[in-house]
Amino acid sequence: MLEKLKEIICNCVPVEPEDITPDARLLGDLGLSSLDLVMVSVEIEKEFDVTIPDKDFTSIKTVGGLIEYLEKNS
Amino acid sequence: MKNLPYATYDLIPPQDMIQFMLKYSFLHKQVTQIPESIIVTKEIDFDTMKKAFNIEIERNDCLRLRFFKEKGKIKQYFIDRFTVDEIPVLSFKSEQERIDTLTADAQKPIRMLKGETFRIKFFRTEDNRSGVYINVHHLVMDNAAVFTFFADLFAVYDHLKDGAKMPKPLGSYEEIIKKELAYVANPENIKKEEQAYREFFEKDGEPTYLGVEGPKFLDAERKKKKNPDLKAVSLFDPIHDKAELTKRTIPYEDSQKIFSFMDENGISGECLVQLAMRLHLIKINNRVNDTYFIVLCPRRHNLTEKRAGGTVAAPLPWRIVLPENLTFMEALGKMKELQFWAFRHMDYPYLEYRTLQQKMFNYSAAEAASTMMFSWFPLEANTMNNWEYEFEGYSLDRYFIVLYTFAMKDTHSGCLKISCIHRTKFVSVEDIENLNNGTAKALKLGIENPNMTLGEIIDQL
Repeated sequence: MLEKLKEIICNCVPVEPEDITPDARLLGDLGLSSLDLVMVSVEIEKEFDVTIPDKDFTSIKTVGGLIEYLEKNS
Repeated sequence: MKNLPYATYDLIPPQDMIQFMLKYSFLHKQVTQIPESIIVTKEIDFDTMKKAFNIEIERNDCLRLRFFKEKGKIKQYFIDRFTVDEIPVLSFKSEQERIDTLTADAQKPIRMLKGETFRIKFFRTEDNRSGVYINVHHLVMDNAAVFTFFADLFAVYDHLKDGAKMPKPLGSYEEIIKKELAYVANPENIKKEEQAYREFFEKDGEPTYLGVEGPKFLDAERKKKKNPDLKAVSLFDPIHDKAELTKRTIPYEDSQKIFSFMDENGISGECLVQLAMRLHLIKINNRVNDTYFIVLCPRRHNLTEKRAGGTVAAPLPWRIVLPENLTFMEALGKMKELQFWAFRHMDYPYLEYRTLQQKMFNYSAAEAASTMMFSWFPLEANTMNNWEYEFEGYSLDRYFIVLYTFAMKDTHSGCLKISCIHRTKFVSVEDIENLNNGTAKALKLGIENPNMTLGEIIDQL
């Protein structure tokens, strides 16, 4: 799952895959903008066949938090 | 235009919107231009920069766009190549001279149908810094594209001058145009988004106009139409489009606190500054808490699109009711959810949802519940790679909307900078001064006391 998320995130922002760790903060460390977060969520929804309500996504802060959410809900 | 050796395209919805805005300011076509400059401390060799610019023309396909009219419609195509042999190099003796000279160019219309899409100038400032100025037609670039252009141009310059690695190729605006045209050609896409927007507007009913000038226009309209419940105003005035550009910088220490708050809490400048502005508007409009700006979204879906030129940005309807019992932090959460909703539905054309609103709320073509536009420019210290830079915009003297506010981190001063282009017939410099004061105060109160309610903050404004 982490590898797939790396692919999705690297398609949105110029980060190296090795910088995308579970502790990495989506907005702070990886430099995603709010728009990037939405684009990432749209791609995640397609890839993992899941719907992430905006209310849930806005409260996810790290890559690890995203993995945890997907493991619970997909 | 027959027998062109190039593929021709219709305008895409963001470009259609630019052309549409000319109806609001048809005597002054400069309203559809973006005149901006980058000033750097490191000395620029302008001969090398000219070479870099000609390489940039090859790299950045939006610079090769041309336009023509066919059966009353504007169409576009990309030419293969051209070079610019002469680029003026200006030398200024004072800041005022610099501002006056570049502003004079900013206000001169670009002859878009006669093959001119931009004007470029190099300059040395009064304090020996170097600058590059571009005045580009908004059909060719939006602000995101201007930043991409400057960053890439300087990176190409670094390659030529110092042997730095050539930057990666830019994305293609032509590919974006094809994608956008394919999207709107599919009626299912439009139908799905229309439904989402209908539900969005139905949720809180007809929006209420909240003026940065206070309730005077709405009150006057209610009196004129003998309708005390009227919620929209008609500020359509294509003649009185005179506009001022007013800039305000939040002091350094306060700005640093704001940026830290944004970083610690994962809040965008877009949400934070807008919330503060809206609290001021609620205060001066009899505490009506139904707030509505249109907010420009860059709409670049991925890294490739971010590295392309062109105009892709479009305004999205950020309409939100903000009950006074919400805490500042809770309200930011609501703004974030609104932001996410808007981004998810950002491909529905502006002109479509404008028409939808007119039908839903029975507006005339001239009426609107919002005449304010907002942008957050996501500039960072590393936007220009290793170049330390100052970004500057120039007054168009006219504008097609009552108020356009754009905010950014000024990387030169380290401060939050809020700029307002406002039509002076409707919004005075004093109104803007009050808006900026109210916004600054709301920001300070909110970030220092995020559990304070909106009502408590508004009481103190």
